[in-house]
Amino acid sequence: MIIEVDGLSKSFTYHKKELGLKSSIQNLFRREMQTKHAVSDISFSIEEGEVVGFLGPNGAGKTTTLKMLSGILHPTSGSAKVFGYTPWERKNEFKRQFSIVMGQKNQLWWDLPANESLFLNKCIYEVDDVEYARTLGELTELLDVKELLKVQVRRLSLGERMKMELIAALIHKPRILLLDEPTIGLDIISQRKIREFFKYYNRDKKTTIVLTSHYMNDIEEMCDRSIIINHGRIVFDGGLNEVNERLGHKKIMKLVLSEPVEEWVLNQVGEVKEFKDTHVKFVFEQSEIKKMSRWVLDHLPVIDFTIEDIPIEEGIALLYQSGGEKHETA
Amino acid sequence: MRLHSMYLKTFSLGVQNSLEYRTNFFLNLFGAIFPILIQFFYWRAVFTSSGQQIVFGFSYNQMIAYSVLAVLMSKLIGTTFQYEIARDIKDGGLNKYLVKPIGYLSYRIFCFLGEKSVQMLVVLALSVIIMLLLNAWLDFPVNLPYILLFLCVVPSALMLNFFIYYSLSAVAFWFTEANGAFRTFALLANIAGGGLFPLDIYGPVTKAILLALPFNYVIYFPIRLLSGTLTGPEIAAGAMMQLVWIGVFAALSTLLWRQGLTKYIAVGG
Amino acid sequence: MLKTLKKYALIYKVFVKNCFIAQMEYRINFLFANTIEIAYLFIKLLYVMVAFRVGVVINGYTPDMMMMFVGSFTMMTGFYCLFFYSNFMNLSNHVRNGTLDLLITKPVSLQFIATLRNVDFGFSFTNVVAGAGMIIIAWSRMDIPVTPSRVLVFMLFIFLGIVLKYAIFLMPSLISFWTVQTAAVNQMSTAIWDMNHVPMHIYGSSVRHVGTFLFPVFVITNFPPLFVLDRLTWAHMVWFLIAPLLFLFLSRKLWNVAIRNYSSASS
Repeated sequence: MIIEVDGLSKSFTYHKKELGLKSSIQNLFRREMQTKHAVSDISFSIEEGEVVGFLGPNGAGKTTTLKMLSGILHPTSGSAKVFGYTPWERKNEFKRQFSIVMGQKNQLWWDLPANESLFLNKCIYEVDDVEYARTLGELTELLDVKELLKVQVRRLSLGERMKMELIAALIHKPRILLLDEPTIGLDIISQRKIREFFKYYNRDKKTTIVLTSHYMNDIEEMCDRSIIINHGRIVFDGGLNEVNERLGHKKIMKLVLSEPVEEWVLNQVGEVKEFKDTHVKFVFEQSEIKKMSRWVLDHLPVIDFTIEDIPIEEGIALLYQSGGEKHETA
Repeated sequence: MRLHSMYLKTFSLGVQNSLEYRTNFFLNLFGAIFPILIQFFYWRAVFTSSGQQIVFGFSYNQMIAYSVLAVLMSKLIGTTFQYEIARDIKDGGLNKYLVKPIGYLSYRIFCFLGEKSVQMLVVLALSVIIMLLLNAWLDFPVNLPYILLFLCVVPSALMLNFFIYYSLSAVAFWFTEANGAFRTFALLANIAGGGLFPLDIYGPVTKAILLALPFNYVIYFPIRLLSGTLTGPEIAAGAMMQLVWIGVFAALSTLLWRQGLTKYIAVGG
Repeated sequence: MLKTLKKYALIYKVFVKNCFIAQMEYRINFLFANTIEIAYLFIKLLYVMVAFRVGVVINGYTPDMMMMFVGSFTMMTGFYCLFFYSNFMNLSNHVRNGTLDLLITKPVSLQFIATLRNVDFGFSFTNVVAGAGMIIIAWSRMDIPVTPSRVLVFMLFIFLGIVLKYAIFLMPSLISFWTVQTAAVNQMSTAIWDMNHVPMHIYGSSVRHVGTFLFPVFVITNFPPLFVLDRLTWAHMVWFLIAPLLFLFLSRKLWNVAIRNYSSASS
């Protein structure tokens, strides 16, 4: 196990500010403090060479988790080991073996050509000259940015800049790559290229990759395993195609009716997910498939009807809704 | 009536702003103690070493009082909105004001006054305390009529300084990096206005030139008035000149802003 | 140990090079920075001018001596702007924008990389040159003999002054880890530094002691010229050797507290 996390929690306090002159004056004397639990008691472990994606809505705790794994933040409680090191002790030997890329923060110097920043990283990570030249050559080749090394970073497009950021992060050949929203703001083509690069790089170097993303596509394409987080808790850990099993093999039935029906009639049948005029959507257990179909066909003016699996997005949305109450992890 | 309440709202926004940044303001005010210390010890050393009663036409207690009040006055009339305006012009933040019924100028004035109103109370209260201390300690003359007259010319000084810097801020329409120019101007204007030393130390010719400039009506004139060293006609003339200069800079700023806005809109904001 | 030192020297060299290239991109800013510095220089010169116009020995200091102290103050201000100022101001940006996160993950000292990364040529040029000029003019006008030992010790003292300046002025900047409203704190530390507009012996003894021992701003700009004028006592000389180390130690402790707060209080 290259990463082992056990019962990690992180909470912090902040003060509330309301608008208006009156509360400004009140604020002079007394500030209301509030506590937010960003991450609550999460545990998981990751093996060398895995690609694991953290999925979850805004503020779910994905980035906070990543920051604790990279040693930027101290947890409130719990433990984590990355190659046997505790990240927040910030040992140099530990730092030399991983890299973090944050989609919204850059480490490259804005007014300089990227190669100057890369050279700085070479000095910081003490990469020897030959190794540096080889890695740089390989990465620029792979990402197709050889000609752009001498262009000021501020003149590069967002996609090109991201590629340079990646080179800067990989120049010392880290064993673990942590990615926080690596494709944010990029156009579809750049997103795809970056994803392909990660997939190739992981296969080729056996580098462990842990990423967070809003984009389902990122996770679906790159990760064999996803950890879904909501309200700071893990609600799912496994392959995305298993989300449905976790939801208890539910199915969706879509109906088109010839005329509208009263809602109470539908509610007798089962769980109504959506209901609009003549279009109805039910969610039900797979085991009830016969009973449901028969009842619906007998009692409702059905024109058309289909039964399908729950799409992954909807499955995850269902997990978010149920998150918090049910969070046993694999 | 609606417009009226809009101004009031802007004013209260300024007040809120100064409350929000109260730590800054009080630290800033506390920071005034250091220039005061420099001035105090410097002049004390100069007076005791020279053995003279009068240096540059000032007695010891007049010089100390001047220096202390000059530091406070500089704090009181100081402006920072020119930097905000430059930013608004640079990144297009000005657009949202151009479509509002309240003019940008009025917005800035009321916001400035709102911000200053709180600071003014504190600074003036502090000035009165210091005056009383100086009175007890150095026999500094405290004279109620002069204090009242002083309170009359302070708003004019504030408005004059507002219009000077509002005019200056229009520079940002032509130069994107105006902050350097702003800072240089503020430093020099403070010296020319008597915020560092009384104008009398610069020699008669320089003093005459500086008196012809508007800046001395912001710091030098109000403090000289408060110290009771000006005659009735001089006070009247000074107050008059303040109004004249306010008029001049109001006109100048209107002109510059009209020109600048034409350019701003022409290039598409 | 030597290897680490060499590594840091190499990294610092890259910092200097990078900053120079980056700043040459904006020559106009360089020009503006210098006009601001000239305005500040003008203020410093006014203090010297007043001394010359009064024309008397003030608390034992002739106008020429005053010029040497103001020159030392000017030069130190220049060095401060060259090496530290923009870094200290940037700390609050690092905290606010979260760029500190990336620096934390680098396998070098965070304090090194966060407080010494920028070298600012624009705001320092005028001051270093004008300050050195004032010192040289005053030195020659007073006919102080130019001996190698005097010059070398003077230069050593300037170096110690720079180290001490880093240590004591880093501490107020660290407030940015607790509050985002740092403008006033920075203004205040500048105001304290500006007390050096006049030689420390102008001040009353209590102010002088505070500024020599408790928060030793006077030491930085006053001790080098005092040494040249043969007015530095042995006790003061010893203090000048101890103070930089002591305050470096203290600022290091405070730095650690600030970073611990950062990584446990933010999200």
